[in-house]
Amino acid sequence: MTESRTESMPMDEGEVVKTNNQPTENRPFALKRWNALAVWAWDVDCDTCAICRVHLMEECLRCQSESSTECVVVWGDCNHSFHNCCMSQWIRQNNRCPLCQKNWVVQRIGK
Amino acid sequence: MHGSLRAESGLNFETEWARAHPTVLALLNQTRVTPTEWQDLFLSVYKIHSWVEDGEEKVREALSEDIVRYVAEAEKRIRVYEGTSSLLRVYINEWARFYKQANILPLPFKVIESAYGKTAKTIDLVPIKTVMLEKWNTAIFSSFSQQLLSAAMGLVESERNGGIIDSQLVIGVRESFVALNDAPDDPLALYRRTFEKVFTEETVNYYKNRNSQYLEEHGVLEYMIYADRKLDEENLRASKYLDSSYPASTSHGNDEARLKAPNVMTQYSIKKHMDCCVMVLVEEYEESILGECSRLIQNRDVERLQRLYRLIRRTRKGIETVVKCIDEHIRTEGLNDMHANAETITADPEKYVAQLLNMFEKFSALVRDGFCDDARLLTTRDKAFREVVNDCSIFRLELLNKKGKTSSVESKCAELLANYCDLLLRKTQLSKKLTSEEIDEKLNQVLLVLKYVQNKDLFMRFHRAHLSRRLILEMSADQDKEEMMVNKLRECGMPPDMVNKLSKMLQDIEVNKDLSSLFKQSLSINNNKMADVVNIKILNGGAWGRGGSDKVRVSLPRELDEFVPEIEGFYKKQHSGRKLAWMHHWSSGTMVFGTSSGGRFDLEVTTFQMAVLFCWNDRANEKLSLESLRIATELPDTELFRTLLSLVACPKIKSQVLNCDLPGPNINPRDFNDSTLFFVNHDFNLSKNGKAQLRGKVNLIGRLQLSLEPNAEKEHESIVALREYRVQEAIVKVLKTRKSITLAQLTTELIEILKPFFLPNRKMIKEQIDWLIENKYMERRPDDINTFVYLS
Repeated sequence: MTESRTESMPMDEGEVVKTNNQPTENRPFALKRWNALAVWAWDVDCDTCAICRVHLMEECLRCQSESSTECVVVWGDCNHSFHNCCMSQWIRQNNRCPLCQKNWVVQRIGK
Repeated sequence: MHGSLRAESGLNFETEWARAHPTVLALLNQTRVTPTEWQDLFLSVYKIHSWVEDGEEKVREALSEDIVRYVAEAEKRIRVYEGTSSLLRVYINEWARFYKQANILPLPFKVIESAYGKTAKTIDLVPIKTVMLEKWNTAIFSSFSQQLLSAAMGLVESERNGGIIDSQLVIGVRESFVALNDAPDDPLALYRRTFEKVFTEETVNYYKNRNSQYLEEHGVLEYMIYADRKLDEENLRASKYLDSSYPASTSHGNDEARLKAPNVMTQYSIKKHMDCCVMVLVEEYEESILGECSRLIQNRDVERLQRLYRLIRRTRKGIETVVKCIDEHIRTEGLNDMHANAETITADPEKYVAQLLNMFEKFSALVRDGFCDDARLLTTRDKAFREVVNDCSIFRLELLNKKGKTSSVESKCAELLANYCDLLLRKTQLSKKLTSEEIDEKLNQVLLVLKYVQNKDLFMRFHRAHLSRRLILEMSADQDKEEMMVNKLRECGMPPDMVNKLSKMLQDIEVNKDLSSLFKQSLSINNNKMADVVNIKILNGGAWGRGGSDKVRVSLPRELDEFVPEIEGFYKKQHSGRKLAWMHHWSSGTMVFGTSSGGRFDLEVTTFQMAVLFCWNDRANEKLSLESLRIATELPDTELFRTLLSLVACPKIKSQVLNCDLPGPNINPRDFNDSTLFFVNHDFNLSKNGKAQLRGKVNLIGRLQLSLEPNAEKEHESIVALREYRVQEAIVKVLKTRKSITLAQLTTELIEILKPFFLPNRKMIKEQIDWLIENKYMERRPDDINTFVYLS
């Protein structure tokens, strides 16, 4: 069904956008507005911070009590992820990943 | 040396006293004394004190003689009237003069009262004033006191009977009793033993017979008026005639003595008297008075209730009966009202809340107007009103757990309150009609009722679902009000973690506004018409619930699908480390529908509705089977059926966007099958005042599914499951601190902890205890099966 529909409408992008604005006899429905909606989450394997035990989508314990502006997530080369605040505290004492004990190297910081 | 100096001074007592004596007599007799004479008296006393051997004793002696002589004369003057009715007046007259002098005459003699240089004799030094009063007491008062007392009491009685008396006479007698005492460590002892005792006894005797007669003749209601008036009168009389001083033996610095005998010391004479009056006027007839309570409440006889309260609150136990009456009244009347209007209020949350508030106001007014907001009765009101609010005989909500067993039966009040909030905060006819202040007031009223709701967790759940819908569909009437409401929920003690989720949603919507405008900007640079069409909301999964796992699958129509990569690309540029989950079951839009007669209608639709409707583009006149629509949209059947139903049978409009080959007019989605055919209604129109219109706008979204669970059963299951976790968590928390605890104590503590969420019932607590024992979190004590021990 989806296939056949695509075949029956061999128009290029530009034309679609143009014809979208007003309905025609053959196309009774035209799009006027779409309020698209998505939910974002950190792209992590394990969704709980192993240091503070709080869900990574929530602020870490420290930030919850101090109501800081941004509490982001950090990924290591080992692909483990933690709250950035928690990890920066952690490496002051121990420069290893708390989960796999490999040397901690920041791969990327969430934004 | 000292003595010899005195002897040599040549000052002679007799000459010096002769100079002072006339002034002393004049003072005693209250004749005129010039300032010079008054000052000279000081000088003379001082001279004698300083220069005459044993001058103090000589002065004291001479003075005492004068006093005795004066008192003896006064006694004669009074004695003349013994046994006559004028005795009291004459005595008071004399007493007043003498008492006044007792405060003035001793002043020049202060110097001989102090024991300068004569330590050995200090003990014997009695103040002149005391000497004066003693003389008066022995010579006059002790012999007349009984006569005076009964004369005074006679006056009081005639006042009680309505006569007008010179109250100074009674007051004077009391003063005598207070001032003339024989026990220096407790100066009021004599007064208490005589005046106060007789006064109270007379009062009690006076009322004893009259009261029951009055009650018999006039009935209880009249008696209450009478007793109330009499109590007021007695209070006035007591404060006039009884000693009002704080009856400590000395006014300063003797707290210790006061503490030692608190019962005697702290009881005001007036209060003691009033207690007796209450006994004889109210407590004696308490039962008959309280017998009226219920009926008066029923009739809202505020004036009589006030009176009843004034009488009863003075008694020791009467208020308990009033408490019972109020409690019963609120319960029965509250529930009767609800049952009487059950039909209207079950259908309409606005009416329901209005009725609750109305009742609350009524009951509060009763306690306020009739009982001066007595704290005990306010507590009763709260308790009884809570029963009414949480009563489940009308709005029964049965919560089932996963095994399909009833976990608890509760009132639907929480849900109806949340629905009412939604009506106020959403753009609705109601919220448009009301002013901002009116909405604030109504929201405050909701919070007031919410205080009494036991299953607050349900309210928060529904409130959150409504808030989500308002924010996502941009239907909030006023953003400030939304924030105010969140703050108010926080202030009134709703669980902070639940409130925080609400405020996070509001914050996130703000963050998203910036993102959305940034998106538009980035598009207009590329000169893409998409900017006019697409609005984006990309929400924080932490704040809005992790809908990712149970989101509904849909195959987007090409018209929408082409925007997705552009949006995702834009978002990647803004943020990193984030993944997006599309929530098409939460999204919506506007379509223009062109009909064969040239009509152009704006349809506000969900994305699912769009997905279905776009199937007819390029095959406008075809009939599409349900099966082919399912293949095209990939919607699960529940969603597909719901969506199709909303398009073929929207209750708001007569002419529908789609038609189907099932016989109308009542289309039931259960009759849909794979071969049911659907087709576009090209003659669609919206009629206004009976006339078909060519232009118009209609909202087909209805109640867009936003709750976390797809249906009520699942919803209830998840409520129960969450409650079970909370009970477990609370049990472990209590056990961790207590180590060992009895079932009864544990239950009390659990209720205290869980009160802001819900009221845990015994069954649930027992089940969770069993679960925790089974899983070795705790155990029963071997010697006492009702005591639990924490296992770490």
